[in-house]
Amino acid sequence: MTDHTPDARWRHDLKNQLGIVLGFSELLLEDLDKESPIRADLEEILKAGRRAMALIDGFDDRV
Amino acid sequence: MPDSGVLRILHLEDDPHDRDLVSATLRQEGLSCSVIAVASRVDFETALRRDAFDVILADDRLPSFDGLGAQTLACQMAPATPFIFVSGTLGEDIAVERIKNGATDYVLKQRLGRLPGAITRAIAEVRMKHEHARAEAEVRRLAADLETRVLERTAQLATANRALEEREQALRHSEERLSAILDHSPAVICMKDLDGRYVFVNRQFERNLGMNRGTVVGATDHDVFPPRLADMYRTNDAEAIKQRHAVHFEEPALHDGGGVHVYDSAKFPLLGLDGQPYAICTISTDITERKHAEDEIKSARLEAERANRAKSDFLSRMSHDLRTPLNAVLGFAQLLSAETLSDDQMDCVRQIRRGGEHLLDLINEVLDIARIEAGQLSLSPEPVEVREIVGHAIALVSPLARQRRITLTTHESPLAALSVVADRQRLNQILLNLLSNAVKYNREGGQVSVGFERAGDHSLRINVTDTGSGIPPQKLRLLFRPFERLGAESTAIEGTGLGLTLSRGLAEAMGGNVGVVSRIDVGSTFWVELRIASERAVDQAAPLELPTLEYQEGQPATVLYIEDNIANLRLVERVIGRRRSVTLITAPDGRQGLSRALTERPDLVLLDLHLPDLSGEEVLRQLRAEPTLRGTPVIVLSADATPGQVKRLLASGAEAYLTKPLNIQEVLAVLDRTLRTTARTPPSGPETTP
Repeated sequence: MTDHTPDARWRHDLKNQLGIVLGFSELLLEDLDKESPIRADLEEILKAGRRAMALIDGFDDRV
Repeated sequence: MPDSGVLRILHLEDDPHDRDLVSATLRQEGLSCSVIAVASRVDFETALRRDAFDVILADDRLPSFDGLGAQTLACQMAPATPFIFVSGTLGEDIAVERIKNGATDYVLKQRLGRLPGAITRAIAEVRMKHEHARAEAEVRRLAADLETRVLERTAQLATANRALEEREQALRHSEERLSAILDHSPAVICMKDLDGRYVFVNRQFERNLGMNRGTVVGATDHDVFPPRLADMYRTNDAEAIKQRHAVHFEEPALHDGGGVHVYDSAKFPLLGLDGQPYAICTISTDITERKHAEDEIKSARLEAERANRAKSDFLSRMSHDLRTPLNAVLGFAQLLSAETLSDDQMDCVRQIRRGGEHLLDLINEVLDIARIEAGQLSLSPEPVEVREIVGHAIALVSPLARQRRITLTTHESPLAALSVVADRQRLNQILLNLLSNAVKYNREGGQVSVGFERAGDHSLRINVTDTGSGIPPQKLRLLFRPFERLGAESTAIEGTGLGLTLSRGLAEAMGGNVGVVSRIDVGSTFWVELRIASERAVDQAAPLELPTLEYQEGQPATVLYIEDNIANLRLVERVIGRRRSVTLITAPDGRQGLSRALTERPDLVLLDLHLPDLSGEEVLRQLRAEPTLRGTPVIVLSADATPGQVKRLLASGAEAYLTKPLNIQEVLAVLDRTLRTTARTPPSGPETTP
C-alpha cells in the first residue's frame, strides 16, 4: 500500500532518482571492457548509490 | 385712656354747689380733669353713649334718678369705667351693698378730701385690670400660637416620618432586590471594608468556598484563608484601591471539597460622596474550565509544533546523511564526464549526473527549509541586475519549455535595468522554481511570460505568468506550506512540493516576499518582490579560469589529504591523478595527519573539517603552530558553507575553502594555483595570505 504523506512522496522521489543513477551506472558498467579505467569510478558511484538507497530504506523503517 | 393726661370725668349731680365743690377739690389736689356734669338720667345716658370717661362720679339721690339706677346704667353702657358714688346720705351698709354690686368706691360729701385719692385708686385699678387683661390675652395668644405651631410641627413630623418610612421601605425593597440578584448570581461576589473585613458575601461565595456568611462577615481574609492566598487577595485589593477603578486579576481559590479553581476577579473600590474609597468589591468568575481548555489548546499546539520540529529534524538528519554518498556520486560522475566515451556512454553519464543533481536538489530543499526555520540560513546579499538574472534563469528553463512546447517571453521594461538586493544564487533558485512551475503547470502549447512592476516606493516585483488552469482560492493559502503539492495525486509532475515554501522563505530572508494571484481557467501569476538596490551592480570579479581536466605534467609536489571518508579519498585520488607530477599521501584522522605532515613535509595539505578525532579547525591551528609547517598552504574541505565559518577559517590561516559536493574543476583550479605559488615561494617564506 503506497503511503501518500508528503515526506513519503519525498522519499519516493529520492528513490526514483537514485534508481536512475544506479540504473544507468549498471548499464554503463555492462558496456565496458574489463580493463576500462573508468570501471572503478562507476563502481564507486554504484557503491555510493546503494548506500544512499539503504539509508533511505532504513529511514522508511524508522518512520 | 390717658396715662398722665387729663382725666375725663362724668359727674352726675343736680346740685350745682356740690358740683363746684367736687371740681374744686379735684383742682386743689392737682388732678387735671375735665368734668362733664349731667343732672338727669337722659343726659347721663346720652353722655355715656357719646363719650368715654375715665371715671364716673354720681350722687346717690337725684330727684328722678337714683344711684342704683345710674350704677346699673353705667354698668351696662361703660362697664369698664370706675363708678364712684359721691353722696352725703348714703349709709355705710348701702354703700357696701353698692360696691358689692359693682361700684368701685364711695365718698361721703362730708369727706370730699378723699375723692381725689379714690379717683386715682380707681383709675389705677382700672389700669391694672387692663394690664392684666392684656397680659392674659397676650398669654392666651401666645399659648394659642404655640399650640398652632406644635400642631403644625407635629403634622410636619408626621409627614416627614411617613416619607422616611416610605424611603426606608423603598430602600429595603431595593436591598432585597439587590440581595436576590447577588444571591442568584453565579459569580462569587463580596465586599470588604478598607481594613479588609468582609461586609457582605453572596450565596455563591458561601457555596463555592464552603463558608457560612455568618463566619465570614466581620472576619478578614487572613482569618478565613491560608496565608499565601490571603496575602495575594489583599495585595490585589490594595492595587485596585490605588488605581481607583476596576482592575482584573486572576486569583486561585480553594473550593469546598479541596479543588483549586481559577477565577477572573474584577476588583473595584466603592467611593463615597467625598470621592474617597470606603470599601472594596470583588466580582469573581470561575474560569477554571476555560483555563483548562486554553491549556489543552496550548499543549496541543506545542505538541504539534514539537511533532513538526521532530519531523523537520528527522528529514534534515536524513538529508545530511545522504549528502556523503551523494557527493561521491556527483564527484565521480564529473570525472566520468571528462573521459573520452562513446555517444551512448556519454548519454548514460549525463543521466547519472542529472540524477545526482536532482537528488542534491531534493536534499538541499529540505535542508534549506530546515535552516530557514532555524534561522540559520546564510545569505550573501548584493545588488543583482534584474535583467541579467532573469535572462540567466530563462536560459536554464528553455530546454524544459521547449520540451513541453511552452513559449517563454520577457516583457521589455525600463524596470528590468534596475538592481535588487539579493543573494544571487538564491534569487536564481527562486526564479528557476517559479519558471519551472509555470512551465510544468501549464496547458499544452501555453505561454509563460515574465513582467516587471514597482511595488511601493522601494521594491520591484518580478511577475511570472502562466496560462495554466489556475488555482482555486481555498488552495491558494496551502501553496506555500511545506509538502503541499496541489493536484499531487498525479505524480507525473516532478518536484517535492517544497519549492514554493523554500522560495518564499528565501525571499523573506532577503527582505522580500513571494506571492500569487490566480484565476481559474485563465492562469496564475507568481511574483517575487525584492528591495531595489540603491547602487548599480558592481562589476563582478572575472570568473575563475576553468582549468583543464586533462592529464598534465607539472612541478613535482606532494599533497597530504587528511580525510576519513573513503569515497572522498578515492575521488580526490582520481582528481589528483590528473596532475601526474603530484603525489598524494593520505591520513584517516587528525592526529595521523599532523604526524604525517611533520614527517613528510607536503607542499599542500587538503584538510577535511569533519574528522573523527580532532576538529579540522584544531588541526589547522596545530599545523599553523608548527614552525616547519607554517608556510604550507592548507586547503579546507567541508560540506558547511556558512560564510561565518568560511571567514573564520580563512582568517585562521586556511589558503582556500572548498565546499562539498566537490566541484572537480574548482579543486583542480585551486590546486594548480596554490602549487604554482608554493613552487615560486621558498618554504621558509611568509605565510600566504588568503
